[in-house]
Amino acid sequence: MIGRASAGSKASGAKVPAPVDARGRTLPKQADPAQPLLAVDDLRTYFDLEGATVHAVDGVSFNLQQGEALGIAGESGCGKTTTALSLVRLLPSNARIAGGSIRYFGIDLVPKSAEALRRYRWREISIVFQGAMNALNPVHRLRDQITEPLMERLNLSEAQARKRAGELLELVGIPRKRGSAYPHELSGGMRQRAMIAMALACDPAIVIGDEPTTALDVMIQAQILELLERLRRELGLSLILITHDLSVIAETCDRILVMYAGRVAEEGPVGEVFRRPRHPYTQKLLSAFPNIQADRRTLDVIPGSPPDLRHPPPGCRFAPRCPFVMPVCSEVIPPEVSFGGVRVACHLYPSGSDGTPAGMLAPGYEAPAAVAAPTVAGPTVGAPAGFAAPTVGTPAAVTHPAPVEPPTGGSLA
Amino acid sequence: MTDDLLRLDDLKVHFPIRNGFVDTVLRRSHGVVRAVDGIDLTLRRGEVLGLVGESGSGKTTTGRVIVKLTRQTSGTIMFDGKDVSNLRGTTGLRPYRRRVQLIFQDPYETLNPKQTINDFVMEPLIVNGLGMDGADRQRRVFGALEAAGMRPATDFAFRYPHELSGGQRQRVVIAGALVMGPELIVADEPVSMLDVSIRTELLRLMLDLRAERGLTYLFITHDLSLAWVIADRIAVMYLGKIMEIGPAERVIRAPHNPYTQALVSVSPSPDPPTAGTRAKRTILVGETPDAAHVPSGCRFHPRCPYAFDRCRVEEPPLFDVGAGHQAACWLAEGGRSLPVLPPHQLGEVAQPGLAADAEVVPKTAAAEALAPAPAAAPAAATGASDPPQPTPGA
Repeated sequence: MIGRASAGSKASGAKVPAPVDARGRTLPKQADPAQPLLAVDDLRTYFDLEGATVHAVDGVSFNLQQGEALGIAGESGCGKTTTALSLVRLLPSNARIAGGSIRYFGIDLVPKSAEALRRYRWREISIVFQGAMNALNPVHRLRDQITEPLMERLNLSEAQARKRAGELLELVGIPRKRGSAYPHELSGGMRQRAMIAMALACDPAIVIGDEPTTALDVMIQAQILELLERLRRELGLSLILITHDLSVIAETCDRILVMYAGRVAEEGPVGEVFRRPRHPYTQKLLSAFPNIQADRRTLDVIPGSPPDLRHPPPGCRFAPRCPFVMPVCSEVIPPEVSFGGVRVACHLYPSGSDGTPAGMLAPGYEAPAAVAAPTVAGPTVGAPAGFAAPTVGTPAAVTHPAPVEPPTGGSLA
Repeated sequence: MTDDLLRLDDLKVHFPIRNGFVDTVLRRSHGVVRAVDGIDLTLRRGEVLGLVGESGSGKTTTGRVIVKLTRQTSGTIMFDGKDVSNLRGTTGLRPYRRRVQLIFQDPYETLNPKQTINDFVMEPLIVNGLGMDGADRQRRVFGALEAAGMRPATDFAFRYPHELSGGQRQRVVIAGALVMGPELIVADEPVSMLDVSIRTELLRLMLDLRAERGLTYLFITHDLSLAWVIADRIAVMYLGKIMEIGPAERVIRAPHNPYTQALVSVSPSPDPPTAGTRAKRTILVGETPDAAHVPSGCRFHPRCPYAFDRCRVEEPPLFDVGAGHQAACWLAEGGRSLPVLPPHQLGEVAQPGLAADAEVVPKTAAAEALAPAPAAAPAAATGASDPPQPTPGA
């Protein structure tokens, strides 16, 4: 466990005892420890693009509690990375936060000036970037890259910073002596560990991992996820993991937030959402995921592609690709409905719903057999003819509840 | 026409380590990187063989040797009954390359940003002098684009890569391979850069194309679950050697090599883990050693939870374990299946320490239990569906 190195110097300057969080970390003076760690409400981040506006994040809300791990999932372009970058305001120059609030222990970060926000970035919320393996400076030794922000941000002396850099490296499983290595001397997994060490340097409350294991081998991925889990347990960190890889979220997170086209499709505890996906998009996403535990060649396809966010469709943004689309879907934006810890934005679940889909085209996993029956069983059109399906009778024999095959899609078999 | 489209015999690719210009000039080397270190592999006509391994396992090098982008150090490559190991020069290689095409991983880098889709797909035809005239070539290009799912072709052919999505770009790359009318496609991580939903479409496309055109694929991937979904047979590589090969169903459901067993146990699954599945994971300590310093004996032994004395000195050959399934492990000798050890005795993430040079001594309770076994143990039936229950210390 690492103490906050700067705590002493900061406390001495304050008249009133500074607020502390559950881990005993000193918080900014305006912070209210009774408030949730992070409360994002109706966040809107737009990109200005040659006269058009891309609604990359368009009304996203979620909370993060202390010690919790939240996974944000979705396809490329669904706004998950933009959401993360908005939290630490590291957005490209043509992006702007157009509305909503990001409250850190009650402090709204959105109206803060760029200068004021520096107090929060890295020290309260830090981020491990996508492709972090290539984010290290190739001409500096690892240790120097970690000591620099420590000296800069926490005003540590060089000796203190070096000592702390050594501790950080050991914390993430890199022997202290490897600190003198240059990035090219380290493997991908080691570099990723070093990036995590840098994100932990200022002892933040929240670490955001943006696709932290995407470029890594499965075995190294398993090691890194194990490391993140251990750090969360030992340091009481709160994690936001952004990934398109649902299995990473299944392995490490408490809650999952599924985004589609800049909005929240579904949010809930990992166990509940993976076992009983309510939103048709979540169902599709799960059944499109290759699963070594499940039968072979039962992969689902999501037909079509995500909408152009310069001109998002009115109503539900998933409507053009949804197998259960109803007339109302293309006209009215579905409200977010909560039941039993799950939040879904889909017209199958009108307000007051208990989580049982309404409407005649109910998803098969809950609908009576009579509703599910008419769907074509067996090889669908377009399936390779000379291709022997392994289990002919049970085309949808997957271990997680799969939706009935929509007429437009079809399984790999 | 033989059943085996491609056969590799004892294929080796060793790269000399040269430090700087002087070494290059003097052709002097400081040891070799044994990227591919003696593999035998057969691709049957019309099958999808999944070649699975971590970075540095030599899977990509194997693919490059097959398409003749890298020369083998020794060994032979037989294609359709003919020895193609020593093809050289335009006249030798062109006819071969028409029949064997490669699809790269990254559709963003494969395409030239200044070239239209049409030009990209047509280029191989021009280079190889295929097609009777311009109109015929154009017909072939449109045909290939439509076969790759870019319909109608005229909508896409005159666009530039930046106007296409990642999935569409990879379709263009596939069209570029198809336009030559190949028999074998070596696909090196063809969907790794793509979103899950787009992956499925491309995998389906590849299977459809196989059905329509009788293609054979070597599907190279680091992701066992992708191989599981698409491949008929799976070969698992580690440090330049094939550790296990067999029908996908057998390799995944009844792995006979500890490395495969560990890979299967950490393979991502979207099922939320329970305490049970989490405990079953075998996270190997450390990383694949570099191929310039291949460990003695079985090259996996430093990370193997089962390793015993023999493994440290003698390299196991591929043992037949039934149903066309082979595994390179002393424990598989005589067709025996792997014991299943209690999870906490497998190579757990014992210490966070992950020294690159970590010579990790595996948990030995398991190893000791097994060590005296090899010669005396009864040759269990090859049916791997009933692995013996854990009896450590028995």
